[in-house]
Amino acid sequence: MLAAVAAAAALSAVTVSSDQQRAASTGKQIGSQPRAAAGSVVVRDPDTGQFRDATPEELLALQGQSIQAAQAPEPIVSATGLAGLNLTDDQMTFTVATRNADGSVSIAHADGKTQADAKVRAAGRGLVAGKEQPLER
Amino acid sequence: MNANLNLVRGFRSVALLAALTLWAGTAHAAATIVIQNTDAPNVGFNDPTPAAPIGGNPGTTIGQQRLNVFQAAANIWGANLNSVPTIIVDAAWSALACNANAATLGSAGATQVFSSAIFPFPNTWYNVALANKLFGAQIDPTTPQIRARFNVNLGQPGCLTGVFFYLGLDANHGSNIDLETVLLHEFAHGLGFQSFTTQAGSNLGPPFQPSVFSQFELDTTTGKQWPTMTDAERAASSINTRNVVWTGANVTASVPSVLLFGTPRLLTTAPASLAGNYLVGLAQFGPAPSSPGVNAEVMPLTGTGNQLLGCDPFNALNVAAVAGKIALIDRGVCGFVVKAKNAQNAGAVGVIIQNNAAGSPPPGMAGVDPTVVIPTVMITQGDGAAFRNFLKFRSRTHSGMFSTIGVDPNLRQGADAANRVMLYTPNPYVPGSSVSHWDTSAFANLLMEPNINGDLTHNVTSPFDLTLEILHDLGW
Repeated sequence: MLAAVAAAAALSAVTVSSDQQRAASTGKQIGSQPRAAAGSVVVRDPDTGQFRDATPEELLALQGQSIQAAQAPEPIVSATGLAGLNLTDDQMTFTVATRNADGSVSIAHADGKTQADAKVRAAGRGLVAGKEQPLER
Repeated sequence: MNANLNLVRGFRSVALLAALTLWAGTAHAAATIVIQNTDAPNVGFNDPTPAAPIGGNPGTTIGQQRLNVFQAAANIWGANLNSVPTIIVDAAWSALACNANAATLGSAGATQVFSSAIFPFPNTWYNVALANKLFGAQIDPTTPQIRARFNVNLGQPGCLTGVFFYLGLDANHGSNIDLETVLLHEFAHGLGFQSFTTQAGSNLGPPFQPSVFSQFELDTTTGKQWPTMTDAERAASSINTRNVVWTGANVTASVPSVLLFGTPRLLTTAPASLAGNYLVGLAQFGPAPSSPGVNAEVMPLTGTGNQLLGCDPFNALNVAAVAGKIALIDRGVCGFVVKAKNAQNAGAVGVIIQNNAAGSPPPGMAGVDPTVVIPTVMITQGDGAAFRNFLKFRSRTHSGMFSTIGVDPNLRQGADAANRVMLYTPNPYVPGSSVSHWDTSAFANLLMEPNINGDLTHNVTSPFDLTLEILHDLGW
């Protein structure tokens, strides 16, 4: 249950990132307030290993990282006159590995650095998916 | 910064040889791929930590071994692609996001895209390496064509602790991660295996126009190619599970030598209103679906709580319902293997688990119990709801609904009936994985599936793989 709450929160953060990537590409203003209120995000305590509500500082750190606006590509024209774009880390493909409950490791992808970071955080709390990661129940 | 240029493959002499031997019908591919080491002294490729040679990698330091693996992956693409302009990979190792149980392994991709009327598809973005090839020269000589960043801390405490990059060249990676396979995958993204379309369906821009990859994407439900769609239509298509296919001729022609027949399915034959094939998730336990499969009447459970969910031994009513039949059971509360064993003990010949969460395709099911000898598959929540709507009207021992847990012997795994390979379009959308990979139903496993499977070799072309074929479709 706790993991599910954390997973839902993480997915929400991913959605914010995606929306903002779109907003950035259309020149819209990007909000900076975390969507979830403190207490709706569960983290694993680094000392006890137990799940607990995120502190306000942890929430800001978690969401502050995940809602950064994706970097938009920069239009360029080559010396030979070809139109182009300089791509950024957010157009790169990121590969993320997660350890499964049975100790095996699954490898999946993320769309740019912003979402890769979010996926690592989510996976660290037990959210994994993919061809090699069947559900336990 | 220590910016060493390390020539990976000096293929110009090979290219000359190829030109001289064309009369014999021999086609030698030739591309020069250079790894540009941008690591600082003593870091990454320059890490002086001694290391014993491993798996055919003769390097004697960690840094040299890393560079050798990058070279090996680049060698494979260099040997298979044709390009007059050199391809430069800006490569470095750095501290990327990680914790004890997860880590960003690395990132890679094209540094630029270009568009030109002289390219095969006008008003279309081409990754810069391919654009250079088509243009015949470096369009921007000041910028590398591919950027690669990999996690220098992988395996250290707090960074997917204990799981390291395997630096051998023989794919004998054991429980570690085969760096060469990951690099082959990531370099392929940088060479063009990337849609660049956002989750909202927007093309890359400005100006907003399709990538060359998108030119080969077809939604088989709407019959529309992706470049002809609106943003909203592309967004909808990107979650149209297993109904978006690759139309490139090179890939399709190679499918028969790569993908195996026998797509798992649930085939419902009665009632007529439900007749058809349904997507299934597979179980790690029990027999895999086969041909001709297990055909029987489908019966749901009755009762409440654990009895309804199949988590307790079946009572007399449920034994009477499922004996000799396929049991339809909701997902939830207990493990899948418990449900399957209880159904088997009640005399069921197969089990259908209805997902309790929305989404498609249905996920796989974990569990171990060698005493389970009946097949179990999962269907989507939506398909299960349609089944149950019909099953509301049944007797205690008969429903009139008949299904087969089996495989389609005439359909190759990961392709449609026309041998077009399916792209990965799960619902919900998976950022970074959706669209720009093959569907996970592909078998044999392919290099460019979103999950890099542990059984991959370093072969990138048929009969082992389809990556080179898709690059040929793109214009390589």
